[in-house]
Amino acid sequence: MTLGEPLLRVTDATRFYGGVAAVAGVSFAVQPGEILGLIGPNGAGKTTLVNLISGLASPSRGQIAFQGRSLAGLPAHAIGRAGIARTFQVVRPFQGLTVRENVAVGAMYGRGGAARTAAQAFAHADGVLALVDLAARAADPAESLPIAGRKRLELAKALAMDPTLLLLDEALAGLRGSEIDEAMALIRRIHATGVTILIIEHVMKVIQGLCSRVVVLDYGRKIADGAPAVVMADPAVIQAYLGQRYARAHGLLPTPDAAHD
Amino acid sequence: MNLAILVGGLILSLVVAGRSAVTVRRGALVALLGLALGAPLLTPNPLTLAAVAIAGAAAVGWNIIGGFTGYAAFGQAAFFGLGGYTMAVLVARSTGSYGLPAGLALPLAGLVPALIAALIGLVVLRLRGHYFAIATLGVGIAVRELVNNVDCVGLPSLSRPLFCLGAAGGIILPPLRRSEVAATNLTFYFAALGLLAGGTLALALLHRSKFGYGLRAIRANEEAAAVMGIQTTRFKVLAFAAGAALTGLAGGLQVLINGSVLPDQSSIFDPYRSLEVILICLIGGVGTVWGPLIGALVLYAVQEALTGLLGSGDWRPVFFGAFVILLILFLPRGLQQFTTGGGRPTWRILWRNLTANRV
Amino acid sequence: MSLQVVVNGLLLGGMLGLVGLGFSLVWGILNIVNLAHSALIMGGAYLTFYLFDRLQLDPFLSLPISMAVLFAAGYALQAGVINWVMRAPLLVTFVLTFGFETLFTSLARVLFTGDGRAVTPAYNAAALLVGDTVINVMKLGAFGVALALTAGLGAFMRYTRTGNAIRAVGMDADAARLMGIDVARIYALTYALSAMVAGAAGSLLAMWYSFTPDSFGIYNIRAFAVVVLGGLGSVPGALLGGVVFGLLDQTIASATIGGFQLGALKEALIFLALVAVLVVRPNGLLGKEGYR
Repeated sequence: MTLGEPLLRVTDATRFYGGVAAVAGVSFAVQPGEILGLIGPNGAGKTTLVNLISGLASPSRGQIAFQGRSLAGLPAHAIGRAGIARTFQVVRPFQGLTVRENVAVGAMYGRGGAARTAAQAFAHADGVLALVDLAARAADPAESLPIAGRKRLELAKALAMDPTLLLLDEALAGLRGSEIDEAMALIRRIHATGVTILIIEHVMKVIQGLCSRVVVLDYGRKIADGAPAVVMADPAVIQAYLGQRYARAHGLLPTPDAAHD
Repeated sequence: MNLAILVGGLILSLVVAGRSAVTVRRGALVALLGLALGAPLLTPNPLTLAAVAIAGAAAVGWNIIGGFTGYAAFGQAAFFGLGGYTMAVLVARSTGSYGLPAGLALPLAGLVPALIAALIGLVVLRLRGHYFAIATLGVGIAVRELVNNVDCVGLPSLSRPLFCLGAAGGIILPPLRRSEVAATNLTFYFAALGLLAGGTLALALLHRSKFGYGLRAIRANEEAAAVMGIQTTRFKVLAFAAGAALTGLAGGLQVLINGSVLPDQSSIFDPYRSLEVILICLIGGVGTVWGPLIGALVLYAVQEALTGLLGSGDWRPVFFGAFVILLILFLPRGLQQFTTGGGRPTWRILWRNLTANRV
Repeated sequence: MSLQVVVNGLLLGGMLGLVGLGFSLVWGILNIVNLAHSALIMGGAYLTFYLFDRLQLDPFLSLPISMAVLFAAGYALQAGVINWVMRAPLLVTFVLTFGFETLFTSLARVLFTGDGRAVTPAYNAAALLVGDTVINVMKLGAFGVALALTAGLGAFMRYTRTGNAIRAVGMDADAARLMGIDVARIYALTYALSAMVAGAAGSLLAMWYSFTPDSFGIYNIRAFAVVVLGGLGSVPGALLGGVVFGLLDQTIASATIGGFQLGALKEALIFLALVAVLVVRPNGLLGKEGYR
């Protein structure tokens, strides 16, 4: 990978389900070391896009290249080993395994996992557990965690894979006030270790607080790509996603009274 | 007396598998091994105990694919039978057989079912849940029918056939000399015991190995396992083949004990084997290390007790069926629900198990 | 493929369609692959046999009796046992019905012995002759009954209030519950209908082949194959699937390749066909959402 080359380059990605294009001709790049936001109304194709990148679905058209190499035809496990990790919107803890074991699986099979023994994987998992503040629950069954803990576990499993690129699919959904602040701080800590992050979120505070750049999808198409402030002032985005009322409340659109002055 | 041995072994196994202090569990393990090794002195016929060990070993095989990996196979009897037929073909001295010593043939009795399972698995393991279960059910039926109807298979260029399965007539193994019989019964018992012990050891190692964790992740959520880097297809096929190998070894040993393979009657392809291995794991705990051992001991202890009451005969499958139904309703996680911190055995817990999933 | 084989295949196909229909009902609405289905078929067969053997009751006339008995048995089974585990994982209901199949079949072996039974009324040899092709009148009658039952059940599902309630429960049990439908009762009713149809199929099949308690296990695979091919949730699909497998069955049974009787490997070959369908076209030919 040469200097200046994006970590991930998505070109004209398209995916049909039946006659419907869940993702249609989407192109963008993710630079190494950035936190990229991916937003859009429900059904816009965000999770499908993440499925395409992580290998759970293959594009009907277009290419996806990671570190300069095409991901075409690679099965999900190969992509995981190559350094792309993802979380699931509806979290998927491994039932029947403890919290620690859940995370250790990531360490056993992610990037660098092949070289680790089981014991080394567990040691690595302990480090990750400390980072996400789950060390106290390490020996508990995964199912016993409350929702906030499950979100952190989902994150920990992905982190244990030592990813170069981390795809977070609404990792903060369902969290309240202070939990969101903690989660944002955690993501910053993860980012500080050198992981590039692509984050799907609906919570605007998170997007504005974390992302240097935002890509907006609507009905499978990309409708904006730029800094958060720029993107959120874009009328197309406001119409599609934020809704007129939010934009007015935050001074991004002229209120009716002001316009009549 | 057999009943006492089985019950004693059961209690010891439950302690070993449970949550007592490590020294207590180690002590129980030592006692269990002592009981197992000394059992032939206590019982007139070690072959009945050997049957328990064989059933347990076959169940270990199922546990790998059905328990650890979560792909519940309903045709495991096919691999039991294939192992048996492999042993017969290798050991017998008729046309199409090879007259090898049993010790040499035994590993192959595990290898052949494993290879066949790998091939079948590549197709069948693409299916999930119900579909996989029915497909394996069909495999069980198809394999039995094929073996029933095939006599000799050979290549045109060879003068003698590659192997003969004897079709409906089966294969008779060379008889043992009378003087050898007593010593051989003991050998069979220890061989069966070794198979079960080795299988349980394999499960224990699997439980802590990377491969084992991979299988358990597949069972928990196959898609999530895949994105975490687990090669799900390869792992599933390996598990399926490994399970077939163990069940096949058990079948091979059984044929040595029987002295023949006959396709029909209550034979090496008896479809109740398929239910038996599932039942054993259900009793002892699906996907656990000690489940097959505990389950086999319970199942055969109960059968031993019932034989005393009802005599032997046709009631066995009736009992299996009823037992399975009661177990799945009241104790779906098996006896180990109690040993792993699920509480003490009370009627209340049974009732709760029943009502937990009602419509 | 001679005309005789085609005729036999079609006639058998109607029966297999009926077998598949009952299986599909429980699978589609209750999401249970009911391995006890073959045992219910067996129940119908033995009931018809004993009514014929002991009371000289004509098998066509005793059909309503076996249907009623199996309906009641099915209702009791679902309401009394299976309803307890409806929310449990797949393996649980699968093993439960597997247990019932084992229990009923082995009980039958104890009670009825393994002797071959057949229902042979006076007219069982009567046949129509069309050219060289022999059409057995009794089998033709059975085929007609199977068609009528299939059509009847399809109409019931589509045009009656209860039928619609069943379909609603199959689509979304929780939503149906919120609309006031007693889901537990609907489940019991659906299973009872499936058992009734299975019993009818068994009674009709009793006129076809001689049977022992062990003859029925393969009907689970057959039913599964028919439903998979025809598509889950489709009544015409079950019939179509039945006809295809009926033709396949008869073709294999009468074929020889290089002197080797293919019929000896019939189960294995049909199973292979099933696997092929599962791998190539798992949604079947006419499969749709819900029940049509």
